[in-house]
Amino acid sequence: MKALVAKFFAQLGVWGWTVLVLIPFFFIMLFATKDTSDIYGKPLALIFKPNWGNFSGAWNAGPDEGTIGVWFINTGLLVTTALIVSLVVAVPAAYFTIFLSLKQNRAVMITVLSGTVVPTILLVIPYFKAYNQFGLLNKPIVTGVAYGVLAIPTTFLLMNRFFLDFPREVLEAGLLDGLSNSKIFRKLVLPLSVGQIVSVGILTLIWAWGDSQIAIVLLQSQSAQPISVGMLSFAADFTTNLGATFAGLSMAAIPPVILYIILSKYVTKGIALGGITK
Amino acid sequence: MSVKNESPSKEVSTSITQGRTLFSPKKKARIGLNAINVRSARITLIPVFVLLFVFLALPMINSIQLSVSRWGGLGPLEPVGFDNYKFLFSDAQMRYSSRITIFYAFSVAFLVVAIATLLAAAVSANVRGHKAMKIIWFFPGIAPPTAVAIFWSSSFQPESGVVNVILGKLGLGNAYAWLASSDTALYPVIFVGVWSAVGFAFLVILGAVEQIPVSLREAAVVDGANVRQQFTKITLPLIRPILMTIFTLQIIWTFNGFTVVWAMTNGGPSDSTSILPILAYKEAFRYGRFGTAAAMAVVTGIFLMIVGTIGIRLSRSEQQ
Repeated sequence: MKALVAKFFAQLGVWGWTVLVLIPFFFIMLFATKDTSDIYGKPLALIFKPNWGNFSGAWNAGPDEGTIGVWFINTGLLVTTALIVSLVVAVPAAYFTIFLSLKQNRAVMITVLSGTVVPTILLVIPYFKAYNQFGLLNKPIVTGVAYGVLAIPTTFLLMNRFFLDFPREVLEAGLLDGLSNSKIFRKLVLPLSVGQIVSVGILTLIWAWGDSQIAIVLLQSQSAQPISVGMLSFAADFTTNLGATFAGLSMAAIPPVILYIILSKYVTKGIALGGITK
Repeated sequence: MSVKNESPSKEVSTSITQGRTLFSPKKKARIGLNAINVRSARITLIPVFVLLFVFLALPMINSIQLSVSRWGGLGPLEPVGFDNYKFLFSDAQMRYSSRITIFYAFSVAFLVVAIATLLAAAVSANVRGHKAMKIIWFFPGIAPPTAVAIFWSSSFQPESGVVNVILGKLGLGNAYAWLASSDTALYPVIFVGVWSAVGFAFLVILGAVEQIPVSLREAAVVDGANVRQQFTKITLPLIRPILMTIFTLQIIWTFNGFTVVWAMTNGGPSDSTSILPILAYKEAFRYGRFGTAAAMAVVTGIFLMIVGTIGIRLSRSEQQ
């Protein structure tokens, strides 16, 4: 009996949490297609005349037409740069570090680990100062470099841990086949590490897509902003046109969620592997 | 170098990443595999350390330098000694912000760990639908914080906001204007902070729960332990180190968390939700007082270093 009661409450709890998690996504999508007067008048109604004009309203919001599209392009540039920088720099280093002595590998790990705990607030003002000095403000790609470098520690640690467990037989077989060391890395190790690289890459992608603390400082002009920063001004401008605001929110929020659903296997694996270093 | 690698001592290899061994003693690495790769390691590590130095170490030094200067955003720094710090320690807003930042970070971290642990316990007991829930519960961690924060702040509006509409339908009243009052604005922000962070903590804690050997729980069942006792006597003590780690990290992340608060309240009304990162941002980029802002950042950094060190110490001692 007692066990049944416990089971009931456990079930109730998990369903309750699931509903709470889904509420924003449900309403963002619902309101994105609702007329503003309906959002105020009958917000919970599920049967209503859809207003697809919200999406064009959102698209044409901001100072120029298609500003939101520019924000997406900026986010794309920023995230792509961050991914390239973090993976190209950290993955080979994480691999070759396993050949150092254990003591040296450990020393490298600890040094890199200390990079994960530096508070962003300590970095943004000097970044602004330096970027300003070199005339690099309002350039999404150059801002993406900063995001990429800040993602290096996590990328390095997760990949290093993965490579430490990599079966040595594979490497030795490659050597016996006469492959050079760099060929072993490129032809044998990399193809077998795709899953792990995707896991780690997604962590970087989610973070760089959503963060605004660095971008709000380095990308201040509206035409250079990524979606995470652009939306802030957009939502403030649109208190009278809620429908368009929600259409904009859905455009910003739904793509990463869909990407996650497709790749969820990798994401959960990446976190289980030690995403707590992020 | 390679000689060392060929005879890995047991104790070193286990100390590296919690029991993962670098080389198993049976399969000794070949000299050919190592000698050249050690050089590659040094070469590939150069860009890692150069970039980390330029983007992490230099800015930190620069922040400290700024914190003892006056700088309006242009021109050279003007050294002012510890004036910025003296100002901070006498400033009422700074004291208030420090207090709410600590309150905000600790309450979010505590609630996140508590909820995530309960959810992990439920899922590991195979409640119905747990496979889908594992995926769904991480949605809040995926969606851009700006987007969800804007949604939630609109939903806390009186009468028209979704939260108030639902409360109204339940007969609990629909005119709560939490975000408009300095006394209550922090609570919706805490709620959203928790809401968006639980999924991640849940996945990590679930990973720890699933590593507990089934035999331990079976033994407890044989001894007549009920579900709650299994949880409090077996699961909880075994995952305590990871809970401590997550709690510490969550404090640091929430302490640093800029986006959720900024998107929900801009720090207002009248700076009642201006946690330190927001206060520093405003100080620098609204009022152009970069020196005081840098001093705030340095104080925050020192505080977080202390929290981090204590947290790591505690979770280490739990592990032993």
